[in-house]
Amino acid sequence: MRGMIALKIAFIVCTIAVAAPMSASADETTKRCGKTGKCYVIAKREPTAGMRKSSKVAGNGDDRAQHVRKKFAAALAVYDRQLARYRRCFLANPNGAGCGRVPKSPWLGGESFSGPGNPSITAGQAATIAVARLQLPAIAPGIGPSPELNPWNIAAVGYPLWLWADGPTHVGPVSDSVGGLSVSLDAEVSSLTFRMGDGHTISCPGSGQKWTTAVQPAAKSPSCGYSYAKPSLPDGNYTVAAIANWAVTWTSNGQSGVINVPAVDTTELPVGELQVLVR
Amino acid sequence: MALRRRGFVSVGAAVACCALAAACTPEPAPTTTPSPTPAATTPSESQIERQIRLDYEAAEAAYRDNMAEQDRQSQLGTAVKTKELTSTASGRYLRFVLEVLSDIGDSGWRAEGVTNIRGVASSGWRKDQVQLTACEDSSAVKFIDKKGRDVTPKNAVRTYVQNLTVIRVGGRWKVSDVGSKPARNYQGAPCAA
Repeated sequence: MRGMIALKIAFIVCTIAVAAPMSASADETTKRCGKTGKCYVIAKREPTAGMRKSSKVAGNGDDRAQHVRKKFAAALAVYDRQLARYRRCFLANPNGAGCGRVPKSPWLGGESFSGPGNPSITAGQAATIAVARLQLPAIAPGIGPSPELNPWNIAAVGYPLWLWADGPTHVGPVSDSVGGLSVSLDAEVSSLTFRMGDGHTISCPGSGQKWTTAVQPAAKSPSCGYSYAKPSLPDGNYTVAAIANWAVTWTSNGQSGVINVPAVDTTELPVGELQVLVR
Repeated sequence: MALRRRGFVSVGAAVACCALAAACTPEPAPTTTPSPTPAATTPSESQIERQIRLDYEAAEAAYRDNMAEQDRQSQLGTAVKTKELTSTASGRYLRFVLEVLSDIGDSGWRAEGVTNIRGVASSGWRKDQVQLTACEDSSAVKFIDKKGRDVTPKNAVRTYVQNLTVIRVGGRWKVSDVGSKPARNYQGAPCAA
């Protein structure tokens, strides 16, 4: 009986011994992965005054700063690659599917990288984070004249359609503070790409020009337009995708640059043939 | 409550482990020492064993309840800090869960199906803290966008071995952190069914 008790104690102590290192292993660099397959690095909360004190005592500040800076730079590089991949996907993918959403900066989610004891970051890194935090408005494909304006509720084959970015096309200037650096941002839709759903892609400079009822019938858009050669009906609608490129100009600490952020939205467009009977 | 405690399978292994631990660790670190209990109320060995079992069960229940709430919210496309989430998760894990749910919701997606918990194994205990290893399989979960299209990420690993830290806060067990390891299959994982 004593032997059994001793073995049970042995197990308990062993269990405890195994537990401690595991609990210590999770930190800022630990990956936490969810059901979407995406992994996250969850940073520590902004330390309170008391916590700052203890962290100073706990570690070699220079080593820690260097380590965190290195990790941060690596995470940012991953983010940059994700962003580049995302842009490439939208520019190359014929239907825009499978590209997912705009990647998030690894330090989003209310985390701050500022505060005493935290490593300094470059103006470019601060700008990347500030741009990722920027809530850019959605850009819907603007197509005119709207099919709803004719009795058949369709866009007609051969009729010149005007294309534009439907929504705010300029944001800023706005300011943000990242890692103690002030970043000024000014975002503008610099170019538009329309996937018309029939296999054709139209690229336009700027944000296009909105069609209004003042436009003469059958007038072509001066900047961004398209005429369908084939109807989508009766098989269905064309799915038109607008891919807007937000050019975000940043200025921080005497430096400046431009970061391109793509945004996409789609709409369904029924296109049919209108026959004109001439007697 | 399918808790498997493989540690009990091999008493010999436990002894060996202890011998090894004793050899490598001249003095136990403070963090590995169980919380001292006043002598008058020191439980017997069987009581400790029972306490460990109950702690594991409560910790696993908190984890499973949290996963059920994650499933429910991901099916709705919401990321709300509900009582069901806050009563079963805290700290980094809670923030991680809200990030996952926000990503799904912000994308205008909703999930179909639930994450299959293929097994949960205990992997460590100390007073008010339990380590669990869970085999999570989300490969059958589909994501649908607002237009009804299947937008499930392709080629993404969605089977993970999750190393969970569960702590007792105010009498409640809450998952406080997680470390994920991708696992195409769960071969060799303690949580493997």
